[in-house]
Amino acid sequence: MKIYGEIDRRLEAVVTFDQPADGENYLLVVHPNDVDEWVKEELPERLRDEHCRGVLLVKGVPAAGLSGEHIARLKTQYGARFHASACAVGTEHESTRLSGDSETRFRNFFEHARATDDLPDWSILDPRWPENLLAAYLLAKALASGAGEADVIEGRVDDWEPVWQRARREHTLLRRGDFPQVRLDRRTASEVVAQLGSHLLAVGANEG
Amino acid sequence: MLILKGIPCSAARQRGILRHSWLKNQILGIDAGFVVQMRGRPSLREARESFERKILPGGEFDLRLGEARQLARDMVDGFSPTQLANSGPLADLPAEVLAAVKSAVHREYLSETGIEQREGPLNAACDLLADALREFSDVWVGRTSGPNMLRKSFEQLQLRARALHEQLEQLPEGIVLP
Repeated sequence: MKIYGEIDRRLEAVVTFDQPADGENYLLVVHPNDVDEWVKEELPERLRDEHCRGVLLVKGVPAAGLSGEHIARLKTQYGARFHASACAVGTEHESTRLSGDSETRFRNFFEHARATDDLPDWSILDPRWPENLLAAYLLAKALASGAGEADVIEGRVDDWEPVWQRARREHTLLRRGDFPQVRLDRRTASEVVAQLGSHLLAVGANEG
Repeated sequence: MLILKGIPCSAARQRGILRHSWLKNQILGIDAGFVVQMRGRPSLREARESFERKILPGGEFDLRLGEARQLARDMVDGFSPTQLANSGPLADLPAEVLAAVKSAVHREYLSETGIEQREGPLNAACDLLADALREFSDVWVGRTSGPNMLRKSFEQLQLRARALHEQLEQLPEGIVLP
């Protein structure tokens, strides 16, 4: 499908937007100034066009600043054609500018969207369950268990430290601000379990 | 405890097939009066033949019972979060570290879910349904059994199917994160 953009240049490294043309199926990528007003006034109008296969909101804040409950309501109201990017994408001078994992996700997603004429698979952009956070949760849970396995795991920190660092980056990508714990060890494990558990519960709530 | 809906989980898929596609759609959702009519009315020959293929020994219902028993055997590992460690970021850890993570997490999962205690009741529900199915298929093929006996026998089958449905209902809908 075609990809139309009503957005500044923040995604130009991963997509070239098409010129709108009649009768073509398309994905619309939008960066509204006032998100609440846009979803109220414009979204239903845009989705009325049967050629519009999906509307993707992208802002400099995660989920375009919409709460999980609001997104769930919009998905119920408008179906799966609507999506707000879980990743914040700022302009090139902002810390949330497209880079690293978020750049890869957007690139893969737009390549997928170009190749399909159906509803886009939003999970390519925003995996339903963030795998690095899940992996870190399991590590922390095992460390927090206080059993003999925790000794083994703590003694091999160099082996799993990259997993922990990727999880911290994924957390930063999906949430505002850095992860509160810099280190994962037996002392911090319970706190990490609580922090990640809370985030994963929120993801689960959106999964229904 | 969190259920990771949306992550592929063959135990959850099997649970769904048994609970919905089989028990709900093919037994609980069928009116006993229609079952009686199916056996007697020539106009319902096609439906009758399809139904017989399901209820007679070696038919679909027997196969489903086998699958339910298999699920009872496999479910402890089937809903375990250890399978998350077999792929994704943890899969490349050295074997000793990976085994330690899986062992600790699996123990927490067993403790929080008590899933091992569900195997017995699930098997017992399968046994009772198997008995009811055998009795019903005997009544179905028996020439001397009248409409009342057939209806009662099917209602007994539904009673046992409901009990198994309830057991399956209590299983997780996906991989469990303790």
